[in-house]
Amino acid sequence: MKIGIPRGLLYYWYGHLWEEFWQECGCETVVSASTDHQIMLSGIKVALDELCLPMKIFIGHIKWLAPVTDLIMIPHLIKIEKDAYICPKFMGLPDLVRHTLPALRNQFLVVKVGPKNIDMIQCLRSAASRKGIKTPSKNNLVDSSKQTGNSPALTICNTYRNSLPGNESTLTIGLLGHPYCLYDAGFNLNFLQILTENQINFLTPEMIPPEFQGVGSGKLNKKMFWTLGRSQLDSLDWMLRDSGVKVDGFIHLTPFACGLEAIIGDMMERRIKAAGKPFLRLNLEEHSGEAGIITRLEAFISLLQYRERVPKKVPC
Amino acid sequence: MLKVTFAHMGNSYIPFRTLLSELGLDPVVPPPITRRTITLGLKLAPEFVCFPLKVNLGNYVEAIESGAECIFMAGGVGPCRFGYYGELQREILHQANYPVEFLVLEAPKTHWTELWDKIKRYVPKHRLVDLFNAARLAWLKAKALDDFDDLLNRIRPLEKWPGTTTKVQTAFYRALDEAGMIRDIHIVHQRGLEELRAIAITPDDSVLRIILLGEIYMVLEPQVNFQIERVLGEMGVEVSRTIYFARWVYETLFLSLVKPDWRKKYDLLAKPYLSNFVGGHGIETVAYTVKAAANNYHGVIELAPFTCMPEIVAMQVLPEVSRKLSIPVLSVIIDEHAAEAGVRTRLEAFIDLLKHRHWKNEADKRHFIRTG
Amino acid sequence: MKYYLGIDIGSVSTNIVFMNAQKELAAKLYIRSQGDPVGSVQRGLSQMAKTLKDFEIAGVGVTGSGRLLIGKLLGADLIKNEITAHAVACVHVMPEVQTVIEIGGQDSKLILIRDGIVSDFAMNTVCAAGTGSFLDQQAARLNLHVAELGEKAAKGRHPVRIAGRCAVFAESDMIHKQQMGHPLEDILAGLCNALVRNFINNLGKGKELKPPFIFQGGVAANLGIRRAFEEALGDRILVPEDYEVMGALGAALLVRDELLYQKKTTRFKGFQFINEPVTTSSFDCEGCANQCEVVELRQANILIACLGDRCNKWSQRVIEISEPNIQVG
Repeated sequence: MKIGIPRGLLYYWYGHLWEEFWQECGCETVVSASTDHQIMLSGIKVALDELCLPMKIFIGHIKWLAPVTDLIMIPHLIKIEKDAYICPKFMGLPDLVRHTLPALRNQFLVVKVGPKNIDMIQCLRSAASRKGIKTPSKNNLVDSSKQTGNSPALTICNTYRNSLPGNESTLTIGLLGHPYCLYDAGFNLNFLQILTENQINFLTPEMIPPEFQGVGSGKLNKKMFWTLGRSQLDSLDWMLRDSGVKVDGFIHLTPFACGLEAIIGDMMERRIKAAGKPFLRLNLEEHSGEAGIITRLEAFISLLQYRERVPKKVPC
Repeated sequence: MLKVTFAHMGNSYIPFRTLLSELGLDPVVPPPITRRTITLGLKLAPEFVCFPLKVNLGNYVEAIESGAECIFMAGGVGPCRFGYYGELQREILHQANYPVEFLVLEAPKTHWTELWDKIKRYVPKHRLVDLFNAARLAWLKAKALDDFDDLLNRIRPLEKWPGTTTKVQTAFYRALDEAGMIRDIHIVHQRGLEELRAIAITPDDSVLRIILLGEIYMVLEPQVNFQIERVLGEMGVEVSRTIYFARWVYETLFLSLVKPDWRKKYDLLAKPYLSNFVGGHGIETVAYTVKAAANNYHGVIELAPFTCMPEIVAMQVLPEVSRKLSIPVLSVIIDEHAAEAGVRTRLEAFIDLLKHRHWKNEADKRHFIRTG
Repeated sequence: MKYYLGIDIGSVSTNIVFMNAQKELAAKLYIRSQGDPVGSVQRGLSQMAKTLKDFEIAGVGVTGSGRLLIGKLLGADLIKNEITAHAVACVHVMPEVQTVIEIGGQDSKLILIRDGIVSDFAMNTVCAAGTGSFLDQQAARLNLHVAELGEKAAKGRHPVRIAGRCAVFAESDMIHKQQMGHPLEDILAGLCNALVRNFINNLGKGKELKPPFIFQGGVAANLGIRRAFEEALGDRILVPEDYEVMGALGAALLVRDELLYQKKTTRFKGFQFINEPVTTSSFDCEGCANQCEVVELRQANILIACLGDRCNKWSQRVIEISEPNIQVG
């Protein structure tokens, strides 16, 4: 049995775990190719205009997988931690894809996580048994919620960071955004590549050590009920205070018109400004013009370098 | 007396004013929403946040200008963004140097008296029984408004002289807002309904009936939805709203406590199309569209603010509902950029579409009877 | 000779047709509105009144975004939204039509027709990309006539990729591609493809676009866009002979049917209206929370029309013989 895993949305957190699980079950796994223009366009073509670009890209990946796999895994992540949702669009994901790609209905392998049972492994098991796939009785897979090291996100981070020259005079930028915005090079126009080419070090939310999870978001007046909001606020707090690296500025990568980022981004921006750090927000859309993004990024980098040299004279 | 304000949402300011003043607070009702309100809100709010939050902020600023010191509002636990409105608005207003307190009423976790404990800090002299009395008055007013609007929407498309019902409505709202005792409220309520029934009408049994649904704020607030109910009514269309303020309060505050599975009926209706809870009124939007088709309504109009997450999910599903159950659906997305003329053109064209469909169906039926 | 007068007052152009009782087009006129709907209708009507001799107006139908204003001024018998008007005109030209593509100056529309009635529609008013104004603008930037732009685009053999979602991005993309040295024909062909892709993605999503197709509105003259649509839809597309005045034709057809059905005579105020300039003034009414922007139109200092007030408080001051019951819809 060939199981397809779309390289989109929270694949960047759980991709390795999913692959391992299905392989343990004796299935062959196929992860869709990296997002390219073709995949993006094929998603845009069928999805509702109002959907966000990452969702459209995800649909493009499903279409890519359809002819080469028997089943396509649709991660239906309602909740992956207590008291927090991902986003209404994640909650309605199976409905969304069913209506956008009606011809593929029978090929979908929906893995429902939450709202009651939030144990990823158990949820994968029950999804497998629903499709008649035998699961191994003993499973040495670790619970995913701890996010220990083994995720596509960190693999990507490390590849880029290892190509950086070791000297310490480079700038460090704190990157904020959803994992599928930061690590999908097709979506963000090779953003990490551009950074490393400019010899800029960076931190991402996924690099936060487990002991700092919950610290930043714990400082809020009201508990935040979105996982992707919590993780970003935790990371921001960590980057500002405890990362051991001096972060020179922050860049927030967000999909155009993202509902959650409208609120979380605004809260983060306020905290970054209060800490006196420069901040840049890039709203990404399906346009092909890299020129605009690169120009703004270069301007931001020059600003940081300038600040570095004349620290106190630049108001920001 | 503490000057307390709240955001506008349709006619809910009438029961809110009563509730607060009965509790011994000084309610500052924000000035009605105008272009200035929206501009003020836009200046403060993040660009892609939902439109209601922007208008709310405008309300608060204008209320603070008229002396409000404290804002009362409801909370929530997601996934819809409304649950975090309070926190974000507090941060925004404080940063903009508006010295204002926030009281966010969250759904009680253990026992409903938690709510009272929170309010009690502002009204130390009052007892629980005072809250009950205040809530009772407010509830009666909210109920009267629901009854009135429901009947009004059935009368307006038939009115002989355009504008008569709207005049009666304005007068009724004012009278109800001023009524102080339970007896007064009852009298105003009954008289309002009688006045509506007395309006000169041209009976028409082929009147178009449509369902108005979507995100609660856009449905309830005429100043942001371009007075869609009135406009449709004056085009001769009978509008049924799916959301009424008093009923909504009853469902979310009371029914959720005593009968937690009250939403099941919506879930069941929506299930073939949308089987997952997506926050906001996503499920209801789909469920009511299914229901509208079953009850032979002529069409459905969905209202949503730009970037509204639950409604976007529903919107993706509605074309299939529309196709399968053969009920036309018009989705209208509204934000600060929406132009009244564009919305109006769409509404008029949609009504034409429904009329022609209706005539054709009737003609087909007659044909069927003749030949069959 | 009796004619039905149809007027489509758009933001960019004003179109006027005279149609006889046999539904035949007698005269048509397409002029730029130049931001002055009243003046352009006056100019247009006086121009047409000169060319046609001995005629009588049997009914007046108006449509387009300026329909309320002009409708009140002329004493129109029917004020109709442009979607319905366009659909009616298309069915008249080609009864079996199923899909109508209409691209005008400020907006674009997609109308689906089944069995001769509108079954679904979509309209884009938010974004300027893909409308006539944007093409005009690009033609001006490249020092081309609009028609030339279309011809050149149709010659493009290897269309380049241009972002079509947003006018700003499209323009910067085009400039970028020019700087890279791509031939102008290919860039223009790319622009047409992008606009068409945008139209189909934006308005046609989830809708069944079935032939026969009709393409109309000012942009239908553009060969490049027409070719791009034919490629994208994989079918022939008909551009009706009177593609630029279809809205006005629809209004004339509708008013004819309406007056014949109701057995009524026209309320048209006559041609004296075109002789005197109309002055407009506006103010914000402070009467209630709506704060309506009220517009007043005067001719020789007499108040001839008033609009914008939701409560009719100001409109009532215009004393008229047969004002109420204009059928709006």
